[in-house]
Amino acid sequence: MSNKAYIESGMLESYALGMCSADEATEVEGMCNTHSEIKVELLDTQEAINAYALTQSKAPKAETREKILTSILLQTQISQDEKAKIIPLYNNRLAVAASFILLSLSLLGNIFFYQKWKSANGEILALNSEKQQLADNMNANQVKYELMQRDMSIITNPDVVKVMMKGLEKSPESLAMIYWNTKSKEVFIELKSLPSLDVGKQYQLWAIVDGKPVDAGMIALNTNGDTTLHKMKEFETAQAFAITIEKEGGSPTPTSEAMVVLGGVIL
Amino acid sequence: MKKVSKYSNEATLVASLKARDNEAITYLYDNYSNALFGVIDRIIQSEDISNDVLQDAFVKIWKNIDSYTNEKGSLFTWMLNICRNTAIDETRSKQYKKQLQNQNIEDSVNSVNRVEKVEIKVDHIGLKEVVAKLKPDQKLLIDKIYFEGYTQEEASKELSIPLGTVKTRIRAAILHLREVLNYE
Repeated sequence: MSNKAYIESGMLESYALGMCSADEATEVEGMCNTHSEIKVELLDTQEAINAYALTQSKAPKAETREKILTSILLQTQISQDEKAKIIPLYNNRLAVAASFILLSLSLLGNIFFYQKWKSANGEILALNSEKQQLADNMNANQVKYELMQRDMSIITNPDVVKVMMKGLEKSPESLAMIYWNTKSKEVFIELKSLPSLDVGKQYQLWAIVDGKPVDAGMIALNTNGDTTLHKMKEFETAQAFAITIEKEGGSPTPTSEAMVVLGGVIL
Repeated sequence: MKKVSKYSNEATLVASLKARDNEAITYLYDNYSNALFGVIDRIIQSEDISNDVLQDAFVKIWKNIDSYTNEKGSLFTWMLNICRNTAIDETRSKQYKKQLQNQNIEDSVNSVNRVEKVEIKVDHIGLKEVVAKLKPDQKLLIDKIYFEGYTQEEASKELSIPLGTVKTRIRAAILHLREVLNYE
């Protein structure tokens, strides 16, 4: 397109009146850069429009001058401050104050979250200990249950002979049971009720075999409230079982006057 | 005799503005604010808002002065376009429409004085006659586009001119304007 044709296209007027799209504006600017004739034409067009605009000329309010110049002065100041990269911190009270506020907020935040964390941690610890407690209880119950099952299977075994050892005149309330499996020869004792012993004393079980007392084992100390079966020595034959109070550790022969309970075997 | 400012050289003025010279900004305001305000107020038609828009536009001019080059035209052309765009944007804001409603009554009372003021100024510059030589339909077309921000499509619809002839009409109008300006 010749310069003349371009000038006559009306594009320059569109540009000068601000009606161009961004692409068209770039095109006009490009043409002006490369064609001085077009550039002169554009400048004349702009001048004509400027003259037209000038016909509207009118003074703003008097106070506007001060407002605008002050606002620009202020912005110049701000932008110059921004440009000054190195600002001595002690000179910038606002920055110091701001950083103190931020620091305080941050510290308060830390304290707040630390407290929250602590209480949450405490709760976790409490829950953990509670959980442990439950687990312990369950384990204990499990043990008890297994013992009871074992005891039950011992007691209900058809080969087991039950011997009730009743209290003698010294302590008529006393009671203990013997479960004797005549096939496996195992002997179990269940302490129902025996008086508590003086220090240094211990109960000893005896089996009466062919009229003679034979040591059947020591009964563990601190069996108060213990309802489980305790395994004693094994016997093939026995006519009766008895418990005497002996010195701790037991005696080779029973002290007959210290006999607490006695029960005969009924086969 | 009036002292000639060093800023009356446009290149010096632009360089000083780019260097954030406060004196240059003051000079700019004192020498261009009437021309710029006239365009803004012609678009806004409400004195209070126009003064605010002039402030916005001046701040924009100051902020964007680094992007100005004389390749796109004179400094005045560039500033006029900033003012015009800022004002037209303002007329499209909801805030403006609301404010204008409230001020309509007050402004109509003052409008007689305002017109007189403009005429004094125009007479002084000697452009009134120039504008008077424009044909009314040409004047209307340029007013719609320049002061009301009409697109070619909108101008075509509003003035019932085929879209294809809008550009040629505009060119004819501006050519006419140039002619009479040269004649003056």
